[in-house]
Amino acid sequence: MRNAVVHLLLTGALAWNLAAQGRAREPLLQASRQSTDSRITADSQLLAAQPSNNRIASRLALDYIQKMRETVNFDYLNRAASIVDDVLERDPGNYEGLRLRSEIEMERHHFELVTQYSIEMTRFSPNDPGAWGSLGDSSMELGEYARAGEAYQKMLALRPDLTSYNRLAWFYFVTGDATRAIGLMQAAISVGNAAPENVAWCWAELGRMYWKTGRADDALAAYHSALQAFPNYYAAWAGIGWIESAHNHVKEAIAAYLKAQATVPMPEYAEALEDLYTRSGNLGSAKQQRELIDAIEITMQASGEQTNRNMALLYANQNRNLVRAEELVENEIKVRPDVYTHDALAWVLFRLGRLDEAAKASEIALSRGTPEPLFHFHAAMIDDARGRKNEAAQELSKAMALNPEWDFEQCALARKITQSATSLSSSSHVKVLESHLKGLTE
Amino acid sequence: MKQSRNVFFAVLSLAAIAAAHPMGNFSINHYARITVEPQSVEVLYVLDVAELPTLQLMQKWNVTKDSPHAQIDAAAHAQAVEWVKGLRFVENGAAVLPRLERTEAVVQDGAGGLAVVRINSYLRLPARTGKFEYQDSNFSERAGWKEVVVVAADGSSVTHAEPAGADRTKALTAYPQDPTLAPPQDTSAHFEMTVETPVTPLVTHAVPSPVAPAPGVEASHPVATAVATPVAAPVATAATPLEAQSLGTVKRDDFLSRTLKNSHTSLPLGLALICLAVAFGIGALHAIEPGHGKTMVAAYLVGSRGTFKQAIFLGGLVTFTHTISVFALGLITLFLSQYVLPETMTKVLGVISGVSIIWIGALLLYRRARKLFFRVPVPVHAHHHHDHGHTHHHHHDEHHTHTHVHTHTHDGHTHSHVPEGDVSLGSLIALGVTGGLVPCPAALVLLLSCISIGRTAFGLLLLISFSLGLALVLMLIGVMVLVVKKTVPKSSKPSHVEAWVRFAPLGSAAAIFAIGVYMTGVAVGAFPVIRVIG
Repeated sequence: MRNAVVHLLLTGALAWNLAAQGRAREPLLQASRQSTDSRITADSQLLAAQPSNNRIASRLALDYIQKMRETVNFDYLNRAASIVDDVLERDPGNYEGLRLRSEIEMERHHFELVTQYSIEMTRFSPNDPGAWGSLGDSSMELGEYARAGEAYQKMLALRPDLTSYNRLAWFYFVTGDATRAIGLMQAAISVGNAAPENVAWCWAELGRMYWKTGRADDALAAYHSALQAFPNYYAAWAGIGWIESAHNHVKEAIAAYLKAQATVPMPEYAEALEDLYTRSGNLGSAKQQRELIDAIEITMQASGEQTNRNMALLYANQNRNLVRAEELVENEIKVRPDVYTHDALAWVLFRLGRLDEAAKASEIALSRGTPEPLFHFHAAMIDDARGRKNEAAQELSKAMALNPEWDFEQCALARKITQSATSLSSSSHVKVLESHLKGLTE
Repeated sequence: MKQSRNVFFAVLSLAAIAAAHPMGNFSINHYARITVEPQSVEVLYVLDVAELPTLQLMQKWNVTKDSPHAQIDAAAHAQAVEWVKGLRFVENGAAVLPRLERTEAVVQDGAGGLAVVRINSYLRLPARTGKFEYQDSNFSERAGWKEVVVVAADGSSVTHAEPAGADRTKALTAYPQDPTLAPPQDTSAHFEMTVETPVTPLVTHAVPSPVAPAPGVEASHPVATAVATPVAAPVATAATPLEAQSLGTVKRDDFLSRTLKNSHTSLPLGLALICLAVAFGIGALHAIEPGHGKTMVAAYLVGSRGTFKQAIFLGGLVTFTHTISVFALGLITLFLSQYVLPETMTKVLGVISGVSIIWIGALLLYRRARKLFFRVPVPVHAHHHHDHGHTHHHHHDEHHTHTHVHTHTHDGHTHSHVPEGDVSLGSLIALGVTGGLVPCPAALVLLLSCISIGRTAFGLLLLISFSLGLALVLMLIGVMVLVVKKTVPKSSKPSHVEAWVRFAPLGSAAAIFAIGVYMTGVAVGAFPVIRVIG
């Protein structure tokens, strides 16, 4: 009997112990998930315990930058910047702080500054792949492609991982070697990364490369892989929406863009939705998307934003707010003179009727052989407006060769122009073009 | 690929930097304050919607910021009804549907004169003592501040709340600006509540949909203009909640932690002594809490021929290991804190400890089972080649049937014991070490708190005092187990209970084994957390 009593006590103790084990372990299990949020929480707590520990502070800043990438919420970038400022105030030579400062300035589009920082970092620490990556990034934005390629090659040699492979892939894509770019992006994905969003980003970029070079099925598969890697990834939904829209699957395209918009209300998503709702006859919803774009413009003006090629391109597409579009893209070209900004500038200038300037900008945009159907489409429109019919037809052929279905409206227009080029006189051809453009954008 | 990211992010970047809304101009910020009252649970559910999503909401509602308040309020109420469907409340495993009592819509100017809206929804649920779970699935993909606060009103209590932080934003009216204070991302909560007998029956099948006032009709709940605009709170505002959550600073708002945290000047002798005494007391109380090897101690002593000396030795060894592991982990933590969380190291130790306990439990189980069922002698080191210096236990009762109560004396007491003799120094050490290997977070927190405020030496003293309290109680528990064994009278009908008693040692071995399996499983994340209590 006495053993029975003792064992009864033991059973109770065991139950108590199990419960305690559960309570003690639960936070550990949560932390072990290692999502960006859990890392932020953990590092925030560690920093609270050691407020002047620069290494922890830098790591928290890096977590915030990653969170910003996942949510596009720049509040996180501001937090990171504030922390890095503190780190550098405590220790002006802190290398991790300097590197993060460079990354933050990169996100703020201070590319010249980033180049300066990066060159200093590569001198100080020539074996740091991050420094070379940073130099390559800023060089790409500045249109310094030779320097970018060299920096990325050094980065890859030092650390062949997802971050170096995907950078080099981007370099090759911009400089006209889509095949190598796709191969490198696939390599980046196969190497993988601890951050699911980074892998999803590579999948989404691979999808864009596939789509721009006419591989629609592969592109869709890549976007769905991105969604598997990082559920509800906005870039993947936007990519799917783009393809569905090009295939005139309006309902599916709207659904995809709305999912992207649920995470991040990008103006280009609103632009695409406005177009899709218009195509489907839902003019009320189309109007709401237009209002959203206008609201984004208001927030930009409230913040004093003066550079934004995406918004300029959007306005040029919609053939409105061209003065503002010119202001945004002209300012951007001063700080970000890469092929994409030149293409946006060309398109805005075309809308403004400044065809010679537009042609020059377009020529620079095309100078690297970037496999962007849109670059060729814009060039064709400019050539056509300048009366260079054969050149226009050639550019449209290049665009169609890359992807014969890159955009529903633009492809339809390109086909008509190509067909009419041989059957219509020049003056009537221009009228066809103008009427189509008007229908496309108004 | 940063370049492409920049292409994507360009539009919203600078806009967000200078946005009027502290969390960014497209954020949707969540807040839920769950107040457990004696007879019901009140939930204040707040969505603070920044400029761009506010525009989309108003488009949906077909209003503008200049529309009549009543119209906006009615639309907001109807919207709140929809949002409530995105909330999930579970009491003791059963889904409970809340009643939306009222809403408040506050529309104000944001960046560039765009509107921002904050909608406060007041929900009420019936309350029943037990577990409570909450989940918010509204706007799950959208960035923002996501905070849940759990509060117990007078006449009720809340325990084991997760999250357990303080109210950081005052219902999203003052966002802390300290960049190191991570914006919470809590969309769920769970806790245990104790309330009076509920007067409202549980609703588990249908939600009473509140009827929104018709557009143009003055709402019964006017727009609450008194609610403050969301603003950036001064840095100091963030300090208090941060303390409550910081690893290595203060996990419990007890006297010791507060004293250590607050005393930045030299510590007076009297206060130091009080701290040491308090540490001793906390250690003693801490030993009474579960998870400190007491079960191991008890199980072992029950199943073995434990003596008082061994009980004291075992309790002391558990404490010693426990303390040493805290010291070690504290030092390692200081070094590795820049790379990994202390929890991660604790996890590894948990696995080591668990596997060791599995090994010991399996050995005991094997030996006891063999002796019980096959009646053969089983050496402690069953798989060893016998060419080394290990001492083997020779079971004096190896030819006995184990229903036979063998007697002998210890200290003049005659007692029956379970049929084995597996108390060796080696097994005691092994059990004590493994039982105390996992350092308790409280002790680690104590040490790290001291280190973080530059009182490392005093922290070590406190830890020693803490450990002495722990040791005392653990030893007492071991002695108590033996006393109970010795003093509980034999049954007058031994034959009736002896069958059960025969299997008791087997059960205790199985218990040790089960603890090891569970500890290991939980440590590696293979087993779910079991909440037998608490």
